[in-house]
Amino acid sequence: MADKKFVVSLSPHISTAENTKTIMLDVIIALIPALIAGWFYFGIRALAVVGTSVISCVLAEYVYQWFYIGFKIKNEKKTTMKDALSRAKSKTTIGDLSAAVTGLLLAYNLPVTIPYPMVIIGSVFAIIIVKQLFGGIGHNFVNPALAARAFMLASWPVAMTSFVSPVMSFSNYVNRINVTTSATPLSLLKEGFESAAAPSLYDAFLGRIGGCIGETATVLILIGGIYLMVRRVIDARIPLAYIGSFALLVFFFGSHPYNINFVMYHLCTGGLMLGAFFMATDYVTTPTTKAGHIIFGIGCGILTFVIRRFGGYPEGVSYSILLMNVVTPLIDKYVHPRKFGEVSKRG
Amino acid sequence: MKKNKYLATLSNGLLAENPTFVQLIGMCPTLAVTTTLQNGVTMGIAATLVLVASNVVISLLRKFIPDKIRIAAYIVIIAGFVSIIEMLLNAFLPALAESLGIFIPLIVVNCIILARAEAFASKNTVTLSALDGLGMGLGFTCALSIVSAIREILGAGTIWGINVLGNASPMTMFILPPGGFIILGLVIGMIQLIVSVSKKRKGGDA
Amino acid sequence: MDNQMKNIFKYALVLFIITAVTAALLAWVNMVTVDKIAQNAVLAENEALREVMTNAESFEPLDEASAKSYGAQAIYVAKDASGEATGLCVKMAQNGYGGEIVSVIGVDTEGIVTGVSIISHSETPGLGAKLVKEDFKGQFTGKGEVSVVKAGAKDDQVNAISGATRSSRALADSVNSAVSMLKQIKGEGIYIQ
Repeated sequence: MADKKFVVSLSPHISTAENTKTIMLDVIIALIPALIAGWFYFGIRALAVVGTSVISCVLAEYVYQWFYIGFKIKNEKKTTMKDALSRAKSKTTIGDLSAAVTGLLLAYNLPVTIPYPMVIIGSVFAIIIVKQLFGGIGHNFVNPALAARAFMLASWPVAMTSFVSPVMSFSNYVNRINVTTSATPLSLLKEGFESAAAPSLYDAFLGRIGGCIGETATVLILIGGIYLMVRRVIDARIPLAYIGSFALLVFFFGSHPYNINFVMYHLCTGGLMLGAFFMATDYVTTPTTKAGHIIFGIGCGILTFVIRRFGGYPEGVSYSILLMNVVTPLIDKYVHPRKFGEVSKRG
Repeated sequence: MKKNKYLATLSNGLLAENPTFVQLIGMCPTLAVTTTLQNGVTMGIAATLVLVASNVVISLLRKFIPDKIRIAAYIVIIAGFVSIIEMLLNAFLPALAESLGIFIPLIVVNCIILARAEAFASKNTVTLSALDGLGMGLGFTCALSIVSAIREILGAGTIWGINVLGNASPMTMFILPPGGFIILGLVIGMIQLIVSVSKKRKGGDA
Repeated sequence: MDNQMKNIFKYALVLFIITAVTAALLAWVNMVTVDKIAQNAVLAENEALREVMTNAESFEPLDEASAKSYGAQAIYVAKDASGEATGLCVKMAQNGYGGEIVSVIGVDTEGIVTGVSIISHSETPGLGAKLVKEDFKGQFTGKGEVSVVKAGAKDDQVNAISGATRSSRALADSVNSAVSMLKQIKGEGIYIQ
């Protein structure tokens, strides 16, 4: 069976599930503040959507690996299907929590009113098609959560763009929110910055705006991001390069240039913070070198700016990260890590 | 004995060397046209007609066309047949012609037709070439039907225009190009899986 | 040398015969079908016109230059059985969200829209593509110039397609242009009294 392939890639390689697990735990911890904000602003349904997404992702990975490893064992060890399946149960990798993190990130990118069957289908797509069919963890070529979000946006354009206003007080605390749909601040921005309907910058920073479940509370996402940077789980270069280049471009070339308020507004809306700290930093789909990280971040910043400024979509974070994911092998090809032990030609 | 050879040629295009699922040629029209079952089937039938006609003519002329100019000659013949079909469609089935649009003229460069002309019709008798054209065309049509049925049901909630999903919202993604790629890939994978499993069963455990 | 020449001559001759025969066959099929194809084109155009102006008996087109000067791709004066002008059918192109939207709009002599038909568009399926559905474009019938609102449209407004404001506005712009075209043409008094 010519199934053994040698994968040549730059270090670091994630080798044991245990290492992945501690990293994923840190990411989950960093994401919890935003979860609480989503719960507060959008009601308990937000929690239900997140729960559905996480459970679907983990289950999808478990079932797929159960059968896939089962078949492999059956062919290699020539046992019965039943025996192979029971042996395969212990070899699944859901314990590394990567599926759970994908579930969280996917849910954070969905509007709270999304019907549950769509959440399940999106999760299955993220785990089975984007991740497992390409070889499992470490082998996916794009971020599974973002790819699933793009998939869902193309599949159900209306359901994926129906946003509600956030709950402002506890008296609206119901299971399913019956508020009118509202445009997100970004689509209002496209109409005009000083539009009366647009929320204030303070609201945007706190998260009291319409949007997806986990993307609105800028301040809490920042806290999570700082936690990850302090714990050295993510390289600060990526979010800084991303946010920095984006902010500069908006300041000089945005539709209201030389307006710091406008820049801040853009930074606090459209899931930019969530994308910059949690999705653009995914190990598998971003370059491995430090210089590569900076290039990746700048690329994301440029693309997000171009899509938001000139494109038809009001928000461009997911597409820019996905596009840079695809460019990552190219970056890795030309940006070399520092090699130690080489003697310079002059010496 | 002879009957076996004819049947073998015919079934070759349907199964063993199915142009879409095994040879992976003619992908462009496959992806573009399979948004509805009606489009897929129509395209398949049109391609089959061209395939049989061109295979027959090229086989008839195979001793007459010099090797050096064979590609040019094949293309003229194929383009001629496609243009005829296009005119006939525009005249007598305008609605269908409109929905297939540019993909009718694109049959000319559909790899399948040129490939069969080159690989089979130029080297075999007329009857066998006709059967090969028919087999490949039917295999192509089957492939188109399977993919477009899946895409139409998932992506538009209808089958041949008839609503099957009721009020549930369909997944628009699947009638868009990325959905086409995904469905095609999954179907090819599924078929390869079935083929390899049945090979293992027939040939004993490898 | 001589053999090469002979070969080139042979290649040329074979290709010539093949192309000549093919060309002759094509010419014959073309002859047989050309009228039918032209007929089909006219039928399709008439069908679109009749869809937006159901009570008209005949349509008299303005020449292309005049139509363009008003801002349309084509303008037809709709006439009833007695030859009286009952309104205009205007074929317009407008930039939508994904590309050009070509539509035919019927307007009666009072400036009220009688129907809207979409000829072609490249709007997003599931969003802007809902332009062609009756529950959106049917809103224009019976109204004059309109503006687009999100919900709760009154007599001079239409409800936008949820999630596709740009597409909705583009079609509304086409309709409004058609209505103002009728007023202008009526004012000039040449085609319509």
